[in-house]
Amino acid sequence: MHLPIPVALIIQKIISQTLPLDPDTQRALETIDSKVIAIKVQQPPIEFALSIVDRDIQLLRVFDAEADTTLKASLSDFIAMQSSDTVIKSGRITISGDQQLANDFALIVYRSEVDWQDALAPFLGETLVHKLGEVAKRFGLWAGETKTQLREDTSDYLQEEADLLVSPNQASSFSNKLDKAAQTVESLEQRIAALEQSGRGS
Amino acid sequence: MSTEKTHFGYKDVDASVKASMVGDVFHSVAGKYDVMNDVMSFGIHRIWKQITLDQSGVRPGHTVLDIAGGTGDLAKQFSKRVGSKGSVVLADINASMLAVGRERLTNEGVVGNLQYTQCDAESLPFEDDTFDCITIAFGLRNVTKKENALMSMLRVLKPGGRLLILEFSKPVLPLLSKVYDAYSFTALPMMGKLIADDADSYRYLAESIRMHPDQKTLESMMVDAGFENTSYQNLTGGVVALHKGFKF
Repeated sequence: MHLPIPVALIIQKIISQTLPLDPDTQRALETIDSKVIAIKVQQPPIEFALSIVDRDIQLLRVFDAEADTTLKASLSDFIAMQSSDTVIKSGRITISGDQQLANDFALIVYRSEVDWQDALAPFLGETLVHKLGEVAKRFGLWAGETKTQLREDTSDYLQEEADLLVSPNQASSFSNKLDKAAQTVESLEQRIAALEQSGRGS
Repeated sequence: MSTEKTHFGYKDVDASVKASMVGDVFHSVAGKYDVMNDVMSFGIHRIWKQITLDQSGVRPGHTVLDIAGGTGDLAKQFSKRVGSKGSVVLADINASMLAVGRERLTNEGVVGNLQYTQCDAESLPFEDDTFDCITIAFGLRNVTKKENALMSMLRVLKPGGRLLILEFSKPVLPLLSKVYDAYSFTALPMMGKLIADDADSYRYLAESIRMHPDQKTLESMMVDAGFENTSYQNLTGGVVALHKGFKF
């Protein structure tokens, strides 16, 4: 799916307004000047391209030609590029085309200092953007807590209710017993060997 | 001696005078061209042009020719896309349209990589293999000998380059076709009279649209001229079509 024209226009406007406020990013863009980077978001499925031209980024709703590099990932992984410089290395983003360009672009995104709340405020209003920011923050916390809770609940169910998995304590105790049994078998072997030797000698 | 005839709207005229007659129409409407485009198409022409840009494949450093570029809607966007390493030529046969386009774009600060050329699409004054992309939006139907224009465009395209023709076409839905006919022959001249004080020019517009080749005919003309991988996309139910062809 391609970005709807009004959405593309708003994003382009935000880019055009925020980039001049970030001269470091503008300078960094010179290193990848004239390149076209295709972005394929998998969830939700959205495609667009970014064209780097004269220290500016142009959003191309559709690019009907071959891009220099194509990045494919989920929306959350693309968002994570702004807060982590290991997203590319971790392999969460599939790259086809110029690998070095993808690395350079990811680094520029990571180092950029775009405040999305500030950038969206003129279009959606400061109150709404603040509330959306709060919702996003709360959603992030809720998602983190839910993930931990889910992991614990699943673990409890598999160990206690369904009895499909053993607990770490049970596993450790079983492992100790196994070690002890192994030692006993070993000592028995030695004793048998000693008895056999003494029998042959008498 | 018999003179070659062509159509000017619904009239048959000598081929040698069509260009000057079309010229008169555009001299007359140049000043109000942008306003009339917005009013007549309810602003939809902006979406049609955006789709043309989307299909252009134009990237930084490219060289683009916008024929019949008029007031420069497409040229302005191409100028941003190709950047300082690329270049755009806004061409129009009509001096008045070109003057309006040049003034508008200069006032908007679109300068540096943009050139203006007054020329006839049938004999483009450029060297062979010059452009990565050529566009002609709402201009081909006014050209006297479309076959010559297509061949001239093919000549100046680089191998691998593409031609995009955005033009009024034949609506594909019967009901839409009837509504469109009623709108074109009654509302359009009326709006032309009210806004541009020129009903005749807008009557010509409606007639010239009906005389323009339909989607398939235009595509076959592109193939005959030597374009490859040709295709077209109907926009707004075929009221407008975007034709695309490549030179290999």
